[in-house]
Amino acid sequence: MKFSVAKSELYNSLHKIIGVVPQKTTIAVLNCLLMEVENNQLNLTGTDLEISVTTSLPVEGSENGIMAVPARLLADIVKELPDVPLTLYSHEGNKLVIETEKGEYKIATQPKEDFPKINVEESVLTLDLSSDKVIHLINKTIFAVSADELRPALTGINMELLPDELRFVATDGHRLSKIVFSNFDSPVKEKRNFIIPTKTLNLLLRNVENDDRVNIQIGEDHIVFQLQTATIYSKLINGAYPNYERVIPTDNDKRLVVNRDLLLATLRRVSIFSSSLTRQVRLVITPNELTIRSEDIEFGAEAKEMIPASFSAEWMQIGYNSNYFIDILRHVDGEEVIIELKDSMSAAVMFPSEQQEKEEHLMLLMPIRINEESYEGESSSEENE
Amino acid sequence: MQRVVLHIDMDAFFAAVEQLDHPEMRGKPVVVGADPKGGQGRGVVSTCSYEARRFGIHSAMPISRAWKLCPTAIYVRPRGERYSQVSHQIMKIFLSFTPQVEPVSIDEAFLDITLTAKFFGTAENTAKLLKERIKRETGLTASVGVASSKFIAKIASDLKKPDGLVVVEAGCEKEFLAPLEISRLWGVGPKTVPVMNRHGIFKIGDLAGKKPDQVMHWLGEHGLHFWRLANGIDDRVVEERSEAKSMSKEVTFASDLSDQQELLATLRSLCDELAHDLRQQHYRGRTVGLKIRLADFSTFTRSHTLSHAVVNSNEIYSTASELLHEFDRREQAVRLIGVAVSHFDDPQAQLDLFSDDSAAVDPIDRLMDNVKKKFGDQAIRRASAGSKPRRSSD
Repeated sequence: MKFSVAKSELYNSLHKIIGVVPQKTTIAVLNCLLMEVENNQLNLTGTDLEISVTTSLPVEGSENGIMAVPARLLADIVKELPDVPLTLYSHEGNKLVIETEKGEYKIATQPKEDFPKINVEESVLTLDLSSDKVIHLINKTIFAVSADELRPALTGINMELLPDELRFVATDGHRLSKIVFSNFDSPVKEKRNFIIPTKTLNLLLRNVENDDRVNIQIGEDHIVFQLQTATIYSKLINGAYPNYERVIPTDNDKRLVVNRDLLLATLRRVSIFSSSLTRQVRLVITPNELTIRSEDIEFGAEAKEMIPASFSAEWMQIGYNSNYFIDILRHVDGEEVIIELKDSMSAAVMFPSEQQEKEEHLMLLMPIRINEESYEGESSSEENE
Repeated sequence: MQRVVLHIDMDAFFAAVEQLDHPEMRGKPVVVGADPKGGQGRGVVSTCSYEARRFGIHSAMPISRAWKLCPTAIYVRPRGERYSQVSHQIMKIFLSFTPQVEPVSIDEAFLDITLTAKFFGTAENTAKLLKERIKRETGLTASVGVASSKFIAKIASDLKKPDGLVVVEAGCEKEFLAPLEISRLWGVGPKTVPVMNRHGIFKIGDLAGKKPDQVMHWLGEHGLHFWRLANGIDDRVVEERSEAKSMSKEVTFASDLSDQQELLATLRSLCDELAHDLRQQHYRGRTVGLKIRLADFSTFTRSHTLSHAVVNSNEIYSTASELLHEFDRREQAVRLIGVAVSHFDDPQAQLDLFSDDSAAVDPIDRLMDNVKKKFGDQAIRRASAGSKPRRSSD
C-alpha cells in the first residue's frame, strides 16, 4: 500500500471518523482504523461493533492495499504535522510509515484479517432527505436525550414515521423535545418507530455536508445512512420507547409569552448564583412581569432579575433546573417563546411563537419541587415590597 | 491550626436509659435485646449494663448465651423511640459546643472544636463541661476522647469507660498509640491480626516502626492505611451531617420458616414498614435489596436497581418478591429476611415525566401513613401481610 495526500485532507477525514473508535475496549483491533487504498481513493473504516463508519477521500495512490492502523496514534501525529504533502506506505507488512520531507513516523499495525467484517442485513424501508433537514431534526432534539444506561430506550432519538409525517423525539424524563415534519412523502402506511443511538447521530452530524442528500435505509434492527462520501451503519436500540404522547399536557391553561433572547440572557446571569447541586432557579410570574430568582445557601449568594412578560393568570411560582431551561431556550427559533403552564408540579409546554413551514416543534420541561417554606415566605415578602 | 476533635460515646446507652427510667434496675445487670425465652430465645444482645458485663455478657452475643451466663439479669426489649428521643437531646447539647458535629450512631459522635474550644477555656475543659451537661440534663454518663484526629479521639474515648475522659496532647500521638494492641486499629480484624503477628507486629508501635513499603507488600493498600493510622496520621474531617445511604428492615423468625407464602407475607409487611420510614424521612431510592439468612447461618444479599426512584410499598415489594422468587434456598429454611432501599436520589427532586405514578404516594400508602400517625405504628396492616410475624427481634 502506498499513497500521497495533503495533511489537512487526511486530518479532516480522520476527525470525522475517530468518534466511532471505542474509548475502552478489550478487543485491540477496534482501536484501529481499516485503511484501504483502491486506485486513487482511500477508504477509512472504524467500528465499535454496534456502529461502523466508512469515509472516503481522493488520494494519489500508487499501490493498492489494506492495513489496520491504531486510530488515535495516527490522528494524533497527523494533527501535529505541518500542512505539507504526506506519503504513507506499508513497511515489512506490519508497519505503516508516514513520510514527510523532513522525517518519518512508523506505526505498528494489526493484522487486517482481525478487523471485524460488518454484515449489513437487508433493509425494509428507504427514505431520502436533504441533509439540512436531517441536521435540523437532530439538532432540535439530541440535547434532550438521556445518558442513563438503565433506561436504554431514552439514550437515543426516537424516529417515528407516520403516513404523512416524520417525527424526532428525545427525552431524559426531565425534559422532552419533539419535532414534527409534516406533508412528508412517507414510505409507510402505518406508524413505525426506530430508536437511533446518540453516538450514531453525532457521527452523522460530523460526516454530513450541508448540500448533501441523506439516503436512509432501515432494517429490522439496523439503520444505514448513505452520504456522498461516507456510510454509517448502526444497530438500533432495542426496547419500547415510552408513550410520550401521554405526558404532553393538554390542559395547561396559563400562557406566558416572553422575549426569548432576553429570557435566555437573564437566566444565564441569574443561574450563576444558583446552587451548584440543583441549579435551581425560581420563576415568579405576574401579568406583566417575570421575576427570576436564585440562591446558593452554601455561599450566601442571591440573585433576582425582572423582565417584562405577558401572562394570562394572576400569579404563579415554579422552580426549574436552569441548565435544562437554558438548553430548551437555545433551541427555540424566533423572537418569542410561548410557555404554557398549569401549576408548580406539572410539565410546562414550550414552543416558538412562529413555527417554520411544515414543521411543529414542541418541548416539555418538568419543574423542581419548591419547598413549601420558601413558597410561603416568598409570597409574603412579595406583598411587602 | 492544630485540629481538636472530640469523640463522645455514651456508656452502655440503651441499658443506661432503662436504668434511668426504671430506678429499680439501677446497680443490677440489665440486658437490652431479644426475648431470652428462658434460654431458648434466638436474637442477640443489643446492649447490656456494666453490671451485666461482669458476667461476661457483651453486645451482639446470642441472647441464649447471655441467659446461660446470667439468668438472673433483667432482660428487656429495646424501646427505640425512647432512645432516639434521648439521643436527640444529647445531639442538641453537642451542637451548643460546636456546629461541626458528625453523629456516628444513636449514641456516638465526633465534634470538631478547633475553633470553639477557646470559648470554654482549653479543649480538656470543653470536654469536662460537655460531660457535666450531659450528666445534668439527661442523667447519663459519656466517655470522651480528645485528640488531634478522629481516629485517636475514638481510641481515647474507649480507654477509660465508663465516665472516662482521655486527652491526647498534640505531638504525643505516636507515644500514646505505641503500647496499644494492634487490634485496636480501625479495620484490623481477626484476618489481619495473624498476618501482622507473623511479621512481628503485636503493638501499634511495632507497626509504626516498619517501613511503609514493607507493610504494603504484606497487606496491600490497606497496609499503608494501617501504617498511617499507627503513626497518628488521619486527616479525615468531621463531616457535619452524613446523609443516610440506605434504609432497611429485617426480622429474625422465632423459628425458621420455609413456607414461601409466609415469607412473602413477611416481606410484604417489611416493605410496608420500610416504605413508611422512607416517606417519613423524605427519601426515595433506586436500588431494592433483599437479605436472607438461611438455617445454617449463611447470609445472602441480592439487589436490583430500577430505572427510577421508588417510595411506594407496592413497588418495593414487587422488586423484593421477585428477588425472593429468584433466590435458590437449596431447600433450606429461612432464619432472617430483610429488605433495603438504597441509592437515594436528591430529595429536592427534579420531577420526572414518566414516573409521576411513583413520585406520587400510593393512596393506600398515604392512608396507612395517616392511620399510623394517629393511632400508632401497629394500628394498621395489610391483609396480605398476614398476622403479625413471629419475630425474635427487629
